[in-house]
Amino acid sequence: MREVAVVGFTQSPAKRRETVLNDTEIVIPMIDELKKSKNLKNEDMDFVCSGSCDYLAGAPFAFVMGLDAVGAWPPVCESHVEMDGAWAFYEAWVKIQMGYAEVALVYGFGKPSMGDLPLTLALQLDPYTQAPLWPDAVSVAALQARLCLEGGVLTERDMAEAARRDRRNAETNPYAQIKGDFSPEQILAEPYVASPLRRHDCSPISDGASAILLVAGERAKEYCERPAWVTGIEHICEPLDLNVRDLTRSRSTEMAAERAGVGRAAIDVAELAAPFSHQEILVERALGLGAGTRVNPSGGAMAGNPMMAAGLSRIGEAARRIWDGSAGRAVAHATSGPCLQQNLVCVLEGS
Amino acid sequence: MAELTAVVGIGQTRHAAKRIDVSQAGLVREAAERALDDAECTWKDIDAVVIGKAPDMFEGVMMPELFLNDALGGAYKPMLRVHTAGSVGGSTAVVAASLVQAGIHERVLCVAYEKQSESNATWALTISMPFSVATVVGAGGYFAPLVRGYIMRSGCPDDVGIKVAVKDRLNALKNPYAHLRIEDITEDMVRESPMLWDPIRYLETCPSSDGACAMVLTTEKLAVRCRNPAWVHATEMRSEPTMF
Repeated sequence: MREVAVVGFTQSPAKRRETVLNDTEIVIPMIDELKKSKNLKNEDMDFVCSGSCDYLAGAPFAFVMGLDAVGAWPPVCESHVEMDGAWAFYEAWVKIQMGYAEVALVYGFGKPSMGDLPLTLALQLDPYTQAPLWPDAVSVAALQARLCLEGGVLTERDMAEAARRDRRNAETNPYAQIKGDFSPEQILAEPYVASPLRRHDCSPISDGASAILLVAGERAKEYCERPAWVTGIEHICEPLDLNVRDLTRSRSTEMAAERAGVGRAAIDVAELAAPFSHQEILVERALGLGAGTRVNPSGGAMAGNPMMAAGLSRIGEAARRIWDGSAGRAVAHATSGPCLQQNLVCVLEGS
Repeated sequence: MAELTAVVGIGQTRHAAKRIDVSQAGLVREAAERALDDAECTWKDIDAVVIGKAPDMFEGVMMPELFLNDALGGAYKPMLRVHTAGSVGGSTAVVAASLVQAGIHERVLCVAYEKQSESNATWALTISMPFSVATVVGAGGYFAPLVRGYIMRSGCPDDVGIKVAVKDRLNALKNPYAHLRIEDITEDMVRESPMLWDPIRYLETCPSSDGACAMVLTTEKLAVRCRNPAWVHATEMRSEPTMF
């Protein structure tokens, strides 16, 4: 495999409702900042790839306008996935592996505040048997949490502890949306939103964007003093139907982690994109993280969850900690679909 | 490029205005099964699945690859969903080829589809955003001004579109998978068909179809054992801004 490194990362502050900028306007400063800080021109980029979702924009071809943030004249070599930007990152990594690209720009963006996100996500379910019932995403996740509780996999206190850790870590993250020191007792005293999930067990609904620069081989060092090398990346998708998979573990994360080589050495930092507290615990276990791993130093998706960018931002947050030397080996996680259906795992290392 | 790559199997469904005999999952599976048969391999030989379609509103399902993955044998495999607007069929193949060319997978299944009868294409293409006018023009409404501009600037004869339409419809009569089969097609028939988006007439546009196409791509090592592998020598894509 070719050596590829994350050398640049920008993100917008996660906001509950961006009332001034449209989604393209949220992306523009992210890409401008990245280009300026790396002294990068469009002709330096061999490949551009983005992740976004038409159902969040409420219009077809959301990414076409998003491309205006890059500036597509002269024409650019560009592709798009209707997935979190983390999978756009994967596609860019593939293009570098095949020797097609040396420098790649990746971005993801979403503005879910324009609609009712939990209800919109009901349209991800089977359109003939499930979606017509309009089960909202929080209720679907609550079914999973209930299975975990009744199966003795975790407790409501475990969930409260995970939520507390994320929001407390987020206090030092200027891009986070939900931050503060909430005690587990305080959290457990809250009413249920969808039993057994409380408000604190849910990630916020966030508008936002992020962008990453990937560079191959020796050239990475021209852009970054201590590049974050991608030493493993894999993603796995489970069936959608909730009744054909074990919802009390994340099998796809386990498989992706195994293939990405997460367990080959100790992990200093893990950045997880799980949108519910019980899911974060399942992902943490699936990655096989030990006590020596700092989980979600940024607060993770539980502190700010711009859909279609949250997973990409986890890769950026993990890379940032390689750059500043606070981590030698880090893992980033992204997810998509109901109840952790599809998961991506990316291992980053300093040289 | 690390790996020479070949297309070793293809499969298409019959195209029609309404394929009410199958669900979306049934439609993509029909194409995929034919591609696997053509490649003489089975579901378990496939390492990864790439699904392409655009836009989601054509069927009314948000990120439909999540529910289609299982029907394409993609359970517990890597799955990518490509969406590059009108170019998506081609770019789905490009992404699938990249996975083999990069040496990551040995055998990749890619499927692109649309089942437009489950929603309404003109509604789906009608952008109704704050501070903009909802045009309700369908795809032709976006392209017609460009076509008109091209005809004006180039001075090309005004029957070029008509000739192209007749040529394609005659070719379609030899294609068992084609949706439109107009046995008695003539230039006069196209010329006399209703003007939809000046200068594009009804018989100069594509139909709204239900249909899917699948391909199996493999490495050189596996491809040489197949009948007539079609080698992928190069792929390229470029994008321009929507407006200037």
